[in-house]
Amino acid sequence: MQTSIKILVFIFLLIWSHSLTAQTVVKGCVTDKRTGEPLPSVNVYIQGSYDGTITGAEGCYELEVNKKEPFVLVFSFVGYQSIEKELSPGEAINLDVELKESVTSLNAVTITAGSFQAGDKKRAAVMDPMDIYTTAGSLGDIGTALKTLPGTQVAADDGRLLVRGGDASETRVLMDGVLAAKPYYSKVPDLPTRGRFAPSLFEGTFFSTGGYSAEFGQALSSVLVLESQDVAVEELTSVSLMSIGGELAQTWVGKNRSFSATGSYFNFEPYNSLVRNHIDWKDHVESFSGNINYRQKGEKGGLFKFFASGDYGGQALNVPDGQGGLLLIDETGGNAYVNSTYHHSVSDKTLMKLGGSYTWDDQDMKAGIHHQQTREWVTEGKIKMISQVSNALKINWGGAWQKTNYDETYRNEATDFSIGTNFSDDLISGFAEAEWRMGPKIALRPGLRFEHSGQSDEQILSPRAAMALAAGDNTTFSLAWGHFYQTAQSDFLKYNRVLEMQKSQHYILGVQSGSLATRLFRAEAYHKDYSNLITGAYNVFGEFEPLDNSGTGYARGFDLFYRDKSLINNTDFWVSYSFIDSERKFLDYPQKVTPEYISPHTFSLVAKHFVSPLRTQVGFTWMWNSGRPYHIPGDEDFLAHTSPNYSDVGLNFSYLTSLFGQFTIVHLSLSNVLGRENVLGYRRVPLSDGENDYSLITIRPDVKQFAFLGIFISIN
Amino acid sequence: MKTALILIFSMMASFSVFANDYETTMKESIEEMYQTQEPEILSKIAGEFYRIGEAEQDKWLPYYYAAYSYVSITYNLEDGDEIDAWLDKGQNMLDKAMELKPDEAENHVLQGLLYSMRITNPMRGMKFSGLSNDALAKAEKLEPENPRLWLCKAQNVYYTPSMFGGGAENAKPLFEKAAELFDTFEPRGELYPGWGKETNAAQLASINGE
Repeated sequence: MQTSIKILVFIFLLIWSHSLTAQTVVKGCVTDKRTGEPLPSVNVYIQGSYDGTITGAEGCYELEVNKKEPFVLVFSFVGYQSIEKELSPGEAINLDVELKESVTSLNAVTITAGSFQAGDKKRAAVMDPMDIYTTAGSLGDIGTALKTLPGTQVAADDGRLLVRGGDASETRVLMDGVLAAKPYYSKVPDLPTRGRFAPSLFEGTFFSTGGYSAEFGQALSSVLVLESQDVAVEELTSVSLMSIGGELAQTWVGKNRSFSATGSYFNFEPYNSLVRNHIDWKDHVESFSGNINYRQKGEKGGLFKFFASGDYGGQALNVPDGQGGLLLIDETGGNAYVNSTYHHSVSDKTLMKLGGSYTWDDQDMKAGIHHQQTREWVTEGKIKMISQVSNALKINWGGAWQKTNYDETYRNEATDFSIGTNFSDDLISGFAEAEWRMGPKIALRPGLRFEHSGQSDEQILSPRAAMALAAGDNTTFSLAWGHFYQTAQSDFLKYNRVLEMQKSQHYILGVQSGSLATRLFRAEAYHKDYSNLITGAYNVFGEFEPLDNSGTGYARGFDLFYRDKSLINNTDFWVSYSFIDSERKFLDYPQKVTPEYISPHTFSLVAKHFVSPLRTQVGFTWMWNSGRPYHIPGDEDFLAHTSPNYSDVGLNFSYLTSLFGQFTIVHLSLSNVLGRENVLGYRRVPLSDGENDYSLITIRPDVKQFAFLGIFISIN
Repeated sequence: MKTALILIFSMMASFSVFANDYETTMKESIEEMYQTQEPEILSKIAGEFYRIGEAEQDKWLPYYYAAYSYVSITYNLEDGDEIDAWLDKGQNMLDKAMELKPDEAENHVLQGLLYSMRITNPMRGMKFSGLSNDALAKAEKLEPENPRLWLCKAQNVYYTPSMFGGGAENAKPLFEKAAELFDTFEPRGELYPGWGKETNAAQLASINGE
């Protein structure tokens, strides 16, 4: 008995131990379904137990399973959809798995043609949001910082973005995808203007120099999309004291929501009285502005944003009138802007984005005896749907309605002659675009856009297409093509209502290699055809009066960009070079020539170095461009002369310190450190009757050198 | 017969203990975690904690330790992007722990630590030191006498430039308070976090030696 039991136990133990050691070895590799790249650190485990492992650097795993019943093996990785596999025990199982990115984190071969992104998490990014503040010479202006990227003109007398042969009106600015109709303060001749929006409002910037998506219309050359901050997480008071004014901001934080308010006042008088000035100021630039900002997170990724801003200000200065005398320019204006968006997940696979904006702009401009009052109301409503149809296919579609009202009164103060004009335009648009990942290394983005203008009663279709091809690690080739339309600007339409939309066609070929974290290189070649450009002549008031759409033009060139954060310790630098060959017949040009805002060669170098022991960041910016064409009245050939080259070396210092125990940045910025006498160009004065020397005005930077001192205190 | 039965029963018992003992597995993994600084091993251990968390479903500690393992990896790293990538994983785990036990002081202390590890360059200091201090303030409301809370507070002060009220001088009383609390602190359970005592002692010693 004893023995038999012993045998029984023995047999039992044998079976037991056999089942105990009935090891199933599962091994294999885990790859990304789309890119085919191995995924390291993926969790591989048996459901409901602690047994498991993670994949190694090559994405492979090996797991011993002590189970005699079927079991479920789970593959789980952050940002990917988990996969469960039911397995029966056996001796060896080979199991290779492909994981799909979850819809929310899907990003891939990014089409980079024509676009520059600034953002923390964007793959195509070439700039961080912080770069806008720390680029020497930018003075915290988004546009100025973007001008250190290739494809843009320096145009120090403008301040707006002039992209690849386009003039300032050809760039459309959007905030959270919705129109910002007046993104710049009003412009007076020969003086640079600034953007209305402070970079601190935004956490990302998307700047496209061409070939952009069918979502964007009414821009011949470029779009700039500013992406505003999400819900703030920190209560903060900030005080900014600057040599040109001050700003006070407060942020309040609640659960899943935040509210902030900012007020500022700028006055250039104290500053202008200290430095030598090229401008004969009568009334220095002065402005009041304020904005409020509310954000609320909803369920399932819902997000509501509301932004409203307003400003009021003015300036008065004397400029040469081209006939030996002086002309007083006196400008005052107010602006209000409201932008609100709401994002909502309609289903697991569809996201809806609703947005609306309203712009009100009132400008009062006096130039000598000419007095002009212009009011503009621009409203836009927009809907965009993003549907992730399958892992490889995403469809974006939507539509927008834009209403523009324009009202202008002109008065001649000498004769008391007065005339008014007004018009309105309804612009309806719709778009559809697919983002199709045809394979692990190829993505295609075909799109179509429809626009209808009530004013010109035109209906147009613009086809667009872009493609990206991944070649090796971190290298992408991109191609883009498209048709782009833009209605005539309001101050043209007031004279002539039969103008049609202007058109451009872009062809872009680009390559991008590397990553923003270390080094990144990018090259792009492009060709643009312009047609239907507006031609006409200047009238006795010095205003352009359009005649028809008979203008044409082209722009072609290449842009190079190199950024390196790893070559020199604690130093980040980027180099941009652009070459452009462009000719146009438009406005009052008698023949096809290179327009007066184009410099064929543009170069910029930006470097930032952090000096740790001094807690100071030193920034250096060198911008150089070759001369621009200008015309001497009386010449046989139009715009036959070239102005001198432009060069500006800027320096800035940001010192991190504390005032009253609060975090403080002291910022000093100097422009044109070398004290160079720059000539930006020469302006023809259309007013002049006789053709003499005086009708050519030399345009210089408003101040030879600019020094900016600011103290920014954050209290929390 | 009796022996055989005992043998069988004890074997079966030991098997079930071996296979599914939350306490034991956690203890082993926690021990293993404290003993290593190797990123590869820590990432493996983090994976283990994650699996335990997924299997148990209602326990916050496995996720807490997964997050802590990821944070520990970054102690010896220099590259900002690499640090961010690990901390993203850590945050993901901590979010799960936080969801299961939102009023646990240890979770908020770890959140404070995680935020302070994100200060990989001085320009980031303002944002993340603010977030870190906010998280620690929440922890202080929940459990004012938590020694790890005071260690993290002390470290935040220590690494803040003296002109902002930081520096060794100002951090010293906080390290001292943490040291006192480490001596008397009674963890609420065997598996509860117990890290920080040595770090605190070492930092206090180095301040005193300066």
